[in-house]
Amino acid sequence: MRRFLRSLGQLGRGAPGWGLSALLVAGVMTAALGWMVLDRASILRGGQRIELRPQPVDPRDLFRGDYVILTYEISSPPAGLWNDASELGLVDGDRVWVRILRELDPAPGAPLWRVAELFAAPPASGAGRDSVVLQGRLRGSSRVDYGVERYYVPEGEGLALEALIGAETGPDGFAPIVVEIAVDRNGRAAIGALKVRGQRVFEEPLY
Amino acid sequence: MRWLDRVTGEDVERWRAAGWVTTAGAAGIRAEMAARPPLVTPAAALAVLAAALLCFGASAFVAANWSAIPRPVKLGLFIGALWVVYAVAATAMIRGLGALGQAALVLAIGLFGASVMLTGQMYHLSGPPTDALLLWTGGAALTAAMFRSKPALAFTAGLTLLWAEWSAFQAWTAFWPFLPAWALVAVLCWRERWGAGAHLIALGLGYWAFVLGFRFGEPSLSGAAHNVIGALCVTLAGAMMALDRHPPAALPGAARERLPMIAGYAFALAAASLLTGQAFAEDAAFAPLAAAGLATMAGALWLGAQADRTGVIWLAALALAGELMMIYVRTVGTLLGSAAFFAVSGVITGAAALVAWRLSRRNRAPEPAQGAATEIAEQTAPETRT
Repeated sequence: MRRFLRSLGQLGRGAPGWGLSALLVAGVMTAALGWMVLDRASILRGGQRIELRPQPVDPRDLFRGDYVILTYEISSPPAGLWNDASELGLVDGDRVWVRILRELDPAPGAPLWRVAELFAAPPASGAGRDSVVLQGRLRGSSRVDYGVERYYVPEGEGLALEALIGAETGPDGFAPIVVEIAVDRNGRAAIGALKVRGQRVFEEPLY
Repeated sequence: MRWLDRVTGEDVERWRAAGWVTTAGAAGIRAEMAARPPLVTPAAALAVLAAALLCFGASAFVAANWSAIPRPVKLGLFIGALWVVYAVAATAMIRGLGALGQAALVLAIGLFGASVMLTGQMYHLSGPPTDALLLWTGGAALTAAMFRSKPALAFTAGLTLLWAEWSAFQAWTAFWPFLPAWALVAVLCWRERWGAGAHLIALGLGYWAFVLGFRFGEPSLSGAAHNVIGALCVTLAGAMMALDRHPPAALPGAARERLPMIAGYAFALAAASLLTGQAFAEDAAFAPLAAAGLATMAGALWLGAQADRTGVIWLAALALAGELMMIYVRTVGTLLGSAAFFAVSGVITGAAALVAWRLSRRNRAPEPAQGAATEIAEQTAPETRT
């Protein structure tokens, strides 16, 4: 142990120092990159799956390069909840927890979920099949971002997706495109799949 | 004595003919030159070329098949490249190849940043981009601390400023987390006893206080405030340079030595403020502001060359690069378009070349008088006197 601590003191000096430094720094960076991937995989593996209907933002700006910007029915909570947010002292950039409730019999093209409550801390009562708590960040004066607003598509396939977002529900009753997200027990979300007319067109593997 | 690598046999003969060195001295210089190994041998040059071609081939192959490569393999490539570059850095340090080692560290930091961004893209991680930038900055700081590397520390400082700029821009409030982060950078600079780092710390604090600090409150006034700050700092910088060139008799020597430093600080803050003011300016006001910015930076370049202050020249050149980028960002896609941008860039580059030429002409040492050369020769080789 004493020799190990002495070698730490030599870090950055001499042959063993440079080698140890390289090992340590490369190791920490590898762990950081690995954590980014494993953290997301844990959400997909064990999270509750829900479907959200993305809304058109601005077709001209929807695509930048090969990724699509997704905005959902739950991205803009009702005005009354924003009063609650300011009473809680929440400002732009703050972390929030949002309880969303499933619409039991949504009309074609209508939102599948709606925002019911806004919290400054994780709520005591948990989620159920028709009630999910999501973790997000306040953006500006009327938005919440949940970390599922960007999806990178294979090159050349973005324009077809763009046309589907905001299109009317088909005769089979399915919204043209829905986004399936996984939500873990801490409210963190990850995109699991993109569905077009009920069929999975893009599915996210764990790794 | 690496300067000896640039001396040729003709130079030695010219010195001998001018009487600056004796015949024995010239022979000694030629012997020293012959004994030194060449900087680059043909074998080493070919090896470097082969390595570069192999790297290019590997990169081209990966790029062509990028979409077909599974994500775990891509991640493995990023991580593998990181380990290789850090191994190269450590090996270079151990063998005393300091410059190669430092270059490898800078490359490794850049590679880590690219890995973070690409991993986020591959796995659709759409959190705040400032979080990714913070992770990148943390990796850079760890590299600078563990390898005690000044280039890595400079990279860390740049990333910290970028993180603060981006975070403050999104939040429109004072970004207090910058202070503890900058304190960490200051500690690392102090640990290395890095004089230039002290200037960097002071400039960073000035940027946070004057440039970021005046961004908050009424957004419509932010640009005007920055233009005012920029104008004041330009005035201060100009006054310092003028005093440096024509110092009053009453000015103490110690104070005079610090004038270029004060001018440099003032100019750096002026450039940052002016560029920020231009970023906020309406389209109609941008052109005159950009012209004023270009004139200021060109003037600083000329003054720095006149006063032979390399630091001021470097600052002015960096500020010019920033101004050109601002013009590009604001004008590309408008009526002005790329043609105007390249025309302006050509004018600026030509002006900078003219300044550089004047500087090199001024700093070329005048040929000594023949009498002085003979005296030097007699002092160095008294046995040759008849």
